[in-house]
Formats: sequence, structure tokens, C-alpha cells
Amino acid sequence: MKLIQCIKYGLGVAAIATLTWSCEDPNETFEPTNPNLSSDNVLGTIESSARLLNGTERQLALTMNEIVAPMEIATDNYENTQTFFNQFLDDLAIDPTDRDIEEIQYSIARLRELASAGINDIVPADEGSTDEQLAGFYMLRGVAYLLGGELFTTLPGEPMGPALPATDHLNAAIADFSAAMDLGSNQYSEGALIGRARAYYRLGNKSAAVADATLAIANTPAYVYFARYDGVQGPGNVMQDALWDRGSFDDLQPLPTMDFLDPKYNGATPNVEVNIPLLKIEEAHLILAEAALSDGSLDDAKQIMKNIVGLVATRPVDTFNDGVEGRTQDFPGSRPDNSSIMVAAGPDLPLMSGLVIDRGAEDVTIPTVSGTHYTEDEIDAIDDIDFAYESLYRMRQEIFFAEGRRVTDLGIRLVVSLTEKVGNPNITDADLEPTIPSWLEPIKAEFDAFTYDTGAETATVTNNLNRLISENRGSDLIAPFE
Amino acid sequence: MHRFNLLFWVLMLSGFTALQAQNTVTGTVTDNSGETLIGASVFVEGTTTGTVTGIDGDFSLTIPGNAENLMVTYTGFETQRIPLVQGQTVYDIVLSEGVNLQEIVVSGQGVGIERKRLTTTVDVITSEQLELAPVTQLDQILQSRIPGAQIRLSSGQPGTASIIRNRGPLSANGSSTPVIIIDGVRVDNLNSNASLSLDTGGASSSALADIPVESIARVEFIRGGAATTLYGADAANGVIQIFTKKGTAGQARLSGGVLVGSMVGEEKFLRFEETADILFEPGLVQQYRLGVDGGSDKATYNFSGSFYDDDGFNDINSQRRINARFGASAKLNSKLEYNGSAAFSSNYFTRDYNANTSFARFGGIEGGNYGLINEASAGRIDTITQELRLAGELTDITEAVRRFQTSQQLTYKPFRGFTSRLILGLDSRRSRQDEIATNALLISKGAVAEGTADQGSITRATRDFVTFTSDLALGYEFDAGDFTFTTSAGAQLFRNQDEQLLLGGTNLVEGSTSFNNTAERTTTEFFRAIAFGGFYLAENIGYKNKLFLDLGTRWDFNSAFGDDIGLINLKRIGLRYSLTDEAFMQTGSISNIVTRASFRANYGEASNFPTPFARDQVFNSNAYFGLPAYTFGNPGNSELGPEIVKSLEFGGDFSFLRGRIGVNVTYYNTITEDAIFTPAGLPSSGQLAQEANVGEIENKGWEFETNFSIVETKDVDFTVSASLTTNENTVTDAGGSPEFSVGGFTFLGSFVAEGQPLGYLRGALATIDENGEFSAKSNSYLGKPNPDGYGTVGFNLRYKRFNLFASSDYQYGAQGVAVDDVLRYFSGVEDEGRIPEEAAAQAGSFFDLAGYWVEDTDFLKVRNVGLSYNVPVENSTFSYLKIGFNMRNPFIFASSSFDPEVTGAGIGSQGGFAAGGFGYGTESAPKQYLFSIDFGF
Repeated sequence: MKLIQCIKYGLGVAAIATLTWSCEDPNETFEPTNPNLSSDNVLGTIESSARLLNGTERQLALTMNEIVAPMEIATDNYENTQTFFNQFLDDLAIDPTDRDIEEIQYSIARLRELASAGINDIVPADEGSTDEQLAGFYMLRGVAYLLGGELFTTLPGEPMGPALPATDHLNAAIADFSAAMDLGSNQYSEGALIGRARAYYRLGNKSAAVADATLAIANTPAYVYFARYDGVQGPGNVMQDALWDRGSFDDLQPLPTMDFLDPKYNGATPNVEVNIPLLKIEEAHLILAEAALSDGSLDDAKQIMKNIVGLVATRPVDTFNDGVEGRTQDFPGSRPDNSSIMVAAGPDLPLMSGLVIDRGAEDVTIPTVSGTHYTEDEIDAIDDIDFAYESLYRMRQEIFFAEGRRVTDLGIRLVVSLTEKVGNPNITDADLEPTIPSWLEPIKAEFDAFTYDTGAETATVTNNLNRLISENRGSDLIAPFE
Repeated sequence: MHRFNLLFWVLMLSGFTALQAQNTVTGTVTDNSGETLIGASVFVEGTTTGTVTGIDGDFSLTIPGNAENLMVTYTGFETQRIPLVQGQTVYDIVLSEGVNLQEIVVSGQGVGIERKRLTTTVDVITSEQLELAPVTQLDQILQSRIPGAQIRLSSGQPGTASIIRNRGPLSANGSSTPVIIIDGVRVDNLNSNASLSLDTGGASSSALADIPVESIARVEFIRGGAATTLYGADAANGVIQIFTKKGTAGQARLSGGVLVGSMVGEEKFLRFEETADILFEPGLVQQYRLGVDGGSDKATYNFSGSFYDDDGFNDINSQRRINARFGASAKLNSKLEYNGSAAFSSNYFTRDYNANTSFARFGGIEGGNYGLINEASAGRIDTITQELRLAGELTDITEAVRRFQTSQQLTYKPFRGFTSRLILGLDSRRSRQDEIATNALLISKGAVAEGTADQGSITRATRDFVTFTSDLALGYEFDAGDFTFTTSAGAQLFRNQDEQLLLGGTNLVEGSTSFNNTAERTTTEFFRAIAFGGFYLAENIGYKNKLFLDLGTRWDFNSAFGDDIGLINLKRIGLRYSLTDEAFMQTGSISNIVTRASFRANYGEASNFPTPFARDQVFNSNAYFGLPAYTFGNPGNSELGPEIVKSLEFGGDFSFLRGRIGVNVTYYNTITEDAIFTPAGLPSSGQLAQEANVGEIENKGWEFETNFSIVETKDVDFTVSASLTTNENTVTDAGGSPEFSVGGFTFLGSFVAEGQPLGYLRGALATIDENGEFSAKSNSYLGKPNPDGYGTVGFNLRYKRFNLFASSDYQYGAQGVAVDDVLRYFSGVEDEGRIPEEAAAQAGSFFDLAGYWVEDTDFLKVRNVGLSYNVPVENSTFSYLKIGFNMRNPFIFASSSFDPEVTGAGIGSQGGFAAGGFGYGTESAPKQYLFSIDFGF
């Protein structure tokens, strides 16, 4: 009987224990509460505008994460030799089913919709909101439209909307940037001015672009607005991951002419992710230089390019050990990997030193905002408009290196994703067609090609894409002022 | 006078008792086939006087004079009450096997039902079958022992997940792991990484790995579909019911066992034998078990505990586990019975980096990081070995799991035919994963430069999961002559709560393993809770004990359902007709040939519930530069409801030649209606993907089970069993949603699309025309990870005291991806002949070559081969003594270059759909050679 008594007591204790242990809050037994925020917790609550603005800036960082790595791979800037980053785009195979292209479209839309929620819902309901915050939302939505207009031939501008041509997106960007600027002077309105110049430039509106660029240089001569990466809480910089963090996986390989600019984003400092420049004053100078060239003012353009060299010299650099990254492909020495190697940017261009740097025990010094190999002497030696265009676009390539901009300069535009087409009846088959300039079509899989003579220690880039831009600058797809 | 009478009777009784105590009865206990049963309990009803049978099934028992009945019990057999006959001293007792048709099974019928009345099938593993091979982990126990289920182990690393499936994958929204119930109480069956867990590559941790497997008396496996209607909630994938031992009556009996052996890495699928030379090391396996059970016919108890330890098959894995379980049963009074069990398990193991991380050592060598290492010089191999051994020594990934699980049952039988049962219980599982990445480790991995001192980190993922069960079941049996009725009704409430934390600390000071010694710390939390349950009513009507009609209905509620969804109703109907119960079939000549022929047909509905909280529209607030950052969270779906799996099946159960041949055949067709898909959000919306009931999935196929008793003699028994399940799986309707990925990689993923099998492999399909022109069509069908067929093959041979058995399983008609070779391709050392020259020369990138890495993954794997010997123990203190030798995973035959079971990618989210099929950077389950001694006193 003792055993039975023990069991009886045991049963009682166990039953009570099971009941109390498993239900901490009896009120939530049948209806567990979702601990996340409902809309009611957000709309009209204190600090809601500030928090959504912070979230929208965070989304900008995520959007740039989606754009930069695949867009750099798609161009001659980087070759994807051995990674699981997009390989199709390395050959410029632009397909509506490409998940990366879909993610770019999605992340731009998410940026736009978050900013719209700020403008339409959150700010009006938040008594404590400021004009600067509203300007921030307008500026960030302007960026969303700008990115859509630069990267896509057509793209919906609203959920389930028809795919609008790039000009519509660029005009929408201009309207939002203007709205931001109308709300007074602050960090967002300053960025909006450069953003508006960039949108006018892409539309080919030279006078408006030049006016904005000139004003921006006067107002904020050192301006940079970054997509910012939080090294502690995230998000991290995916391009940094591609260039640096992947440890023993071989990383993305730059064109040998761009070696001295890689890695623009490094992880040498713990808990620090390098930010990606989104809007910077170099943009304004480059617009002015291209405007001068389109006006036939070679000397003016050269002077502006020299100004840019001067500006770049003031930009920050990082010095760190890049020995782990090395510069290998299948094995050490398979790519130009030391400073004694001379590189030519095209078959008929001279070999130059200083483009490939040493990455061994010695630290490297890499620009984190803007870099260029150009010197005043090299700019002085430019003696015709054609070569000036080629040089200006090479300068653009260097200054916007690893920022996802090159693809637009080359005249390449992405497609609307098939997922959108399936769910959105407004999308037509034409929206699924990519834009690839005819002069690039035959060489689209060879953008990253170069010849490398290890014995002579020389490397020559096979396809000088900047020359092609110069030669075809009359096309609507490129060099907007022509 | 009274006093005199009392004294008289006391004297008379004690004298009589003393006199009668001299009486001894002897005998044997055997099963129906004459096989002796060792360790059967024989005791005098109403007392603690008892014994157990010896090696020849014999017993000798001194009985009190007032004894009326002997009770004879044996696990897996019907308990027998033997009336004592005056003057008779020898009793040869025959027990009927528990797996006969009179056996009571639970199987979602409330308090239990005779197996014969069931219109569906239930697979049973008895403790004897379990004891054939050493028992350490549940999925390994089930593997190759349940005819209708396939269990694929996804990695040889300790504590990793498996893919358990029967009748095909039913859902794109969740895993195919069945519900697991121990003594009527649901337990954690998460068979994937938790949402917040260490990112150490593809090895997923599994809660199945640490379910206490002590003292399992029997396992019932109920296939998903009609049989699981009354389980409701998430029972569409089937139910595994585990019943634990509560002890048998008699004086305390000690039992124990020692298991010692070795585990060695599986080398069959290695690309380079140097991988084994560098990383593999035979490991010692040891397990010690001790148990005690006993009791009276009023109350019994069982306690068992074990200690398990292995040091892995490579240089850094190790595992240690302590299990304890207590079970008890008591008749509290003539109407009330109590059954209870409680178990504790503590599990600790170390793990290496795996698969999808550049830190993986195994994946590094096999993936060609070192080129053709088999052609490297001895000096270089030496250097690599030293580097990797150092990296191994510096690797510090651990997981500790503590688990407590209990079941408390009260059964009340107030009058004949009526039974009520209340079960309360819980399973509480706490796991903690730690990864210490020191600067020294990072330097050894080549991730940071020599001399780095500020990049050390510590990461900890904790998960605290509690699931609570309360279950009230009522049953009433009524006999009305030709008609018999079994009525069941019941109600259940379950509640799961899952709390996770991911803690990160960076700039960890060298020499410390504490968050207190880090410079920056981060925390991420995950919380999920769900309450669900329902009530049901079922009626089983028998006519002349040969025709049975089964009707059941259930209403389910669930806190994961959208606001517009109320109670969900599930129904079932089944019919069984036993031809061999007809009089004309019971004549000698016919019944000798056709012993049993029974036909069944069923329709039933089962369900899978949506992800908790997936119905809610929310904003997320992230931390961004130290401030809250709002963003759109889950878009919300007020119409989110369960997936309803409608199942239709026909079949028959046959045995011939007095049971020498047994055959079961079933055809099944299941349609998952309102299948929950989570396609990517419409890009232009910028919103996250949202679960919605938009799809439909079909599974159909045949199930065959056979067993042959080829020899049945006193000295020799030889039985062979085999099973086959075929499956054809198709997403019949995607509800207009675009294809979406459920695992894999960008170049070759596992996708869900209308008209294709669930999780089919999608990538570029290459062709080379007669002119040698290469072309590749992207987004093509390349294969499917789910097999066309799978099954088991095994035999058992007894010769006198020796027993030899083997079990194996196989699959055919599935494909997988040789991902390791993709990595080798990057390094220019891909498998010879895999990529045709024309393709290699003309392909734009490896994306175009995806199809060349897809291989057929047919296999036959022998899981266990065991030989045991029952040592004669007459005139010794042992009641039994068995020595055995067991080989685990001894032989593998496979069509693929990689292990078709392992998968280093493919489970996208916690409890998510697991397609498998990506052979990637992880070791196969090791071979093990184990010696065992089991004994009882």
C-alpha cells in the first residue's frame, strides 16, 4: 500500500506541476499573444515617424545589398569566378526568372512603400513629426524611383501597377526630391539636390542637371550620403561579404585596371561594416564635366576632371592587411597580383603601373568613398573629345566602383520579374525584355576578359568598354547629354 | 468466544498457510509457436509472490495455499490468468502475442480498440524487436523497422535531423515528421534547425535525437490519412506512439546491459581517401544500462537509466547522454487505475563546421579546396593535415540539451463496458548551442591575418520548448448480439511554447568563453506559442464480428487559424470485412491455406495547421544604429486555415499457410486541399511573403508488406520480411502563385510549381546537339528528391540459442545534387567525365551546367546486422544473459557518387519543408561495431 500512496501523492504533485509549468500566464492559454507590433501600436504613437524613417534608411541599406553585388558582377568591374553569387549576370544573361533581379525589384518597391507609408500615414498621424523627417521620407522615396529609373527599362511604380517607363520613374524621383528640398535645409534636402541632379542627368535634361550640380557643389562641396551598415546589429554590407568576408572561398575578382580600388569595403575593423556611398558630390562634378564635353568645351571638361582628382584626394582611405584575400583565382599567380605588373585598359592603350597593388604582408590603402588613378598630367594629355569621353567614363567607373552604377552607364537595363507578371495583370510581355546595347551584345560574356603574360608581367584588358561608350554616345541608352 | 474464534482462525490460517507454503508449481511459458518466453512474469494474483521464467521459459514458484490464480505477463503478449487446480503442480502456459487481432491499440480511437475492429492499419514494433539492436536514438530505431515509413539521416554529425516520411510529402509548408506521442503525451518533434540557431553549415539539429528511448515497451506507427483523423491538428503526416514499460509484477528484478564498440567514418562516398586519413578517427562507443522493475498485481514500477558516450568518428566529434525513466502503474481501487511515467535526458555533443561554410574541413577537402589532394606530395598532405588538425583542435561548437517529459494517466471504469481516461503531461526541452570562434581559430581557417587579436566571438543559441497535453477520452462497448458497438468520444487541449534567444558577443578576449569578456553584445529573440485542440466522436459498429463500420468526426480549434476561421470539421468513414470469419472459410482445408483474408476501405481527413502568428499583420521593429527601426512585417491573412489532407485508401490483410506467409496491400490517394503555400510577395508590393491556403497536392501509390516464415522448427526459425511503398507526388494546383523556392541554391534549387513534384530540382538543363553545339535551358526540371518507391528488407534466423538478424532499407526513383562536385569544379578538379568537353568549353558559367550535377539516388542500405547468443543460466544468479555483436550501417549500395541520404541544404526554415537531395559537405552516418551484454537477475 505504501507504493500506492506514493504514487497517489506523486500523481497530484505531477499534475499540478504540469499545469503550472506549461501555462505561465493563464490568460494566454488559449489565445497566445503575438509579441510583435500590430498597426495600432505604430500609427499615431510617439516617435513613430523617427522609427519608420530609421527603418526606411535601413531598408535603403538592404536595397543596396540587393543591387550592388549582382550589378557589379554584370559589368566589367567584377568577375564572379568561383562563388554562389549570381553567375548568369556575369554573362549578362538577364532573365525574368532571375531571383536576384526579382529581389532588386522587390527591395526597391519595399523602400518606396515604406517611404510612402511615412509620407501618407505615419507622419500625418504623428504629432511630434518634423519637416526633416518628412523630407527624409521624400528623399528616400525619390531614391527608390531613381534606382528604378536607372536600372530598369520599365517597372511598376506602385503595387500591382503597370510597368512605367524609366522616364516616369525619373520624373517621380525629381518630384520627390523637390518635395524634400521644399521642406527646408537639412541632410536629406542636401542629398535630394544631388539626387535630383542625377535624375535630370539620366533624363538628359542638361540645363537642369547642371544647375542642380552647380548649386550642390556650392552648398555642400564634400557631401556624401551613405547607405549605412550596422556592424553590430546588421544589416551587414553584402558587397563587403563578397569582396572580403568569405574567408577561404575565393571572392569576386576585379578587372586588373580596378585592382587598386579593391576591396572598397573591408572587414578589418571588428563590428564595423563599411558604408556604400549613394549620393556624393563627385556626381555633380562628373555631370558638369560631361555637360562641358557635350558642349564641346574640352578644356573646361579637363579642368573639372582635375577638380575631381583634387576632390578624390580629400576622400577617406582605409589601410589594412589584405593578405588573406590575396588575388588568386584557381591558384596563386593566376591573376595579376603584384605591383610590378603593368596593365593596359585596352588593346591600344599604354601599359601603366600602379593599377595592381601588392597584397601580402604589407598593408594596403584603399579608398572607401572615391578613388581614381587619374593624375593632372594624364588629364592634361587628353587631346580630343572622343578620348575625353572615354577617359571621363573610365573616371566614372573608378569613382563609382563597387557602387552598382556601372551597369547604367553601359546602357544595360533589367527586366520586370516573372513573379510580378504572374501576379500582376498589368505586366506585358514587352516588360520582360531586357535592354542590352547592340554593341555590347557580341561581347557580353567577355566583359571581364584580359590577357595576362606572367613572364612579361603585363596584362591587357580585352574589351575597352569606355571606348565603346565614347563611340556610341549618340545612342539614347548612354551618355544622356548627347 | 469471539476472542477464541479469532485466535482459532488466526492459528488455522497461519498453520494452513505454513502448510500450503510447501506447495510448489512449475512449468513453462511459450508463445503460440512453441517458442519459449524468457523473462515472463509469473505471479500469484493479489500478492507480490512471483518469479520470472528462465532461459527455457521455465519457472518454479512456491505458492500460498489461498492462491487462486496465477497471472502471467510478458511485454507484447496478452496477460493470462491461469486458475490453479488442486493437485496440479505443472502448468505449461501459452501466451498469445500482443500483436494479434484481439490486441488493444490506441490509434486515435480514444481509450483504445481491438485491432480487429480497426479499418486502417497500425504498424507495431515490439520491445523484442527493439532489443535486437542497441537503442540510442529514436529515428535510428524506426529506420528500416516501419514498413510504410522512410527515415533518411541527413548527416553523420551528432544530434542532426532526419527526414521522416510516409505516403509522400503532403505539405510545402512544413516538415513531414509525424506527431510523436509518448504515453499519450505529445513531445517536441522539431526535426530541423530552430529559427535562431548557430550557423555552422548545413547540419540541422533535431529534437528527435534526444527523445529518451529508455524502457520502450512498444511503438505504434499510424500512417497519415484516415487513421489519424481523430488526432486533428497536425496529424496528417502520421503519428508515432511510444508506450513505455511500467514494470511487471513480482519481486524486484534487476536488469542491465553493457555496450562497447567502435564507430568509424563512412568512406564509401569520399572523393579523396585522404579526407578519411586526415579527419577520421575510430571512436569508442560505450553505453551502460541499469534497470529495476517489479511490484504486485496492484502496483508495478519500472526504473531504468543509461549512460552513453562516444567520441565520434572524427577527431573532434563526441557525444554523451544520460537517460533515466521511471514508470509506474497502480490499481487505486477496483475502478480506478493510474499509469505514470517520467523521463529525463541530458545530451551533450560537439560538432564540426559543416557544408555551407568556408570553415568546413570535411567540405573543404571534398570540395577541392586543396585541389587533387590525392596527387599531392606527402609533404603537402602533411602540412594540410597539420593545418586541419589544428583547426579541429581550435573548433569549439557544442550543444547541450536537457529534456524532461512526463505522462500522468488516470483510467476510470465505473461499470462494465465504459472506460474513461484522463491524461496530463508535458515535454520540456531546453537546448543550448555555443560557438566560440577565437582569433586563433579564425587565423587557422585563413579568415583573418596572422596576428589578429580583435575578431574573436562567441555565439549562443538557446531554445526553450514546452508542449503540454491534456486529453480526456471516453469509450463504451456494447454487445447486442450480432451487432457490437464501440463508441468513443473525447476532447484534447495542447499548447506549445517556443522561446529562443540568439546571443552574440564580439571581440571576445582570448582565453575566455564568457559573454562577460566581449566588447559588443547583441540579442535576438524568437517567440512562438500556439494553443490547439478539439473534440471528437467516433462509432465502430461490428456485425457478427466480421464486418466493421467505422465512423468518426472531429472539430478542431487552433490559435493559428485566421479570425475568419472557426472550428474545422474533419470526418472519416471506414469499412472492414473479414472473409475468413465466414463459416465456409473456417473448414480445415481452406483455413489451412487461407488463414486470414480481410478487406478494408477508408476515407478520412487529417490536417496540418499554419505557422503560429502567420495570420497576423504586424510591423517589425529592428535595431539599427541603436534605435528602433520599423518595417513592414508579416502582411497578415485573416482567412488562414489548416491544410486538409483528404485520404482515400483500399487494401487487404492476408495470411496463408497458418500464418507462414503474411501479405498486406494498400492503395492510397491523398489530396492536400487548401495547401499552404508561401510564394514570394509580389515584387511591386514590397511586402513579405504570406502564407495562404492556395494550393493542392496529390500523393498516390501502393503499399505492400510481406513476411515469410520459411522455417519453423524447435531449433530453427527463419523469417524474411520485405515492404515496398510507391509514391507519385504532384502539385496539382498552385492557385495561380508563381514558382517559389523551398531550399537549395540559386544555380539549382528545390522548387514548388504546378504540375511538378513538391520540391523538384530546378536548374539549367544542358543539351549538346549532333554538331556539338551546347545549349542550356534555364529553370528546367532536373529531378526530384522524393523517391518513386522505398521499402525495407530484413530477415531473422534463430538456431537454438543463436539469433542472427539483418535489416535494410532502399529507395529508387529519386534524384539528388552532387554539390560537393560543384565546389570541386570551382577548383578545377571536378569528377572526371561528369561535364562533357563541349559543355565545359561552351557553357557561359557553371549555372548552365547545373543538370550535370544531378544524379539518380537509388540505394540499398543495410542498417543493422546482429548476432546474439543466449547463454544458459541454469543454476546461476542470472535470469537471463545475452551477448551480442551488432554492426550498424555495414553495407551500402548506391547509384550516386554522394551519399543519397545526406543533405547539407534544403530545410529553409524552422520545421519547414525538407526536400533533401543536396549531397553537400557533410559526413555520412558512421559505421558502428558494437558488442553487447544484457543480463537480468
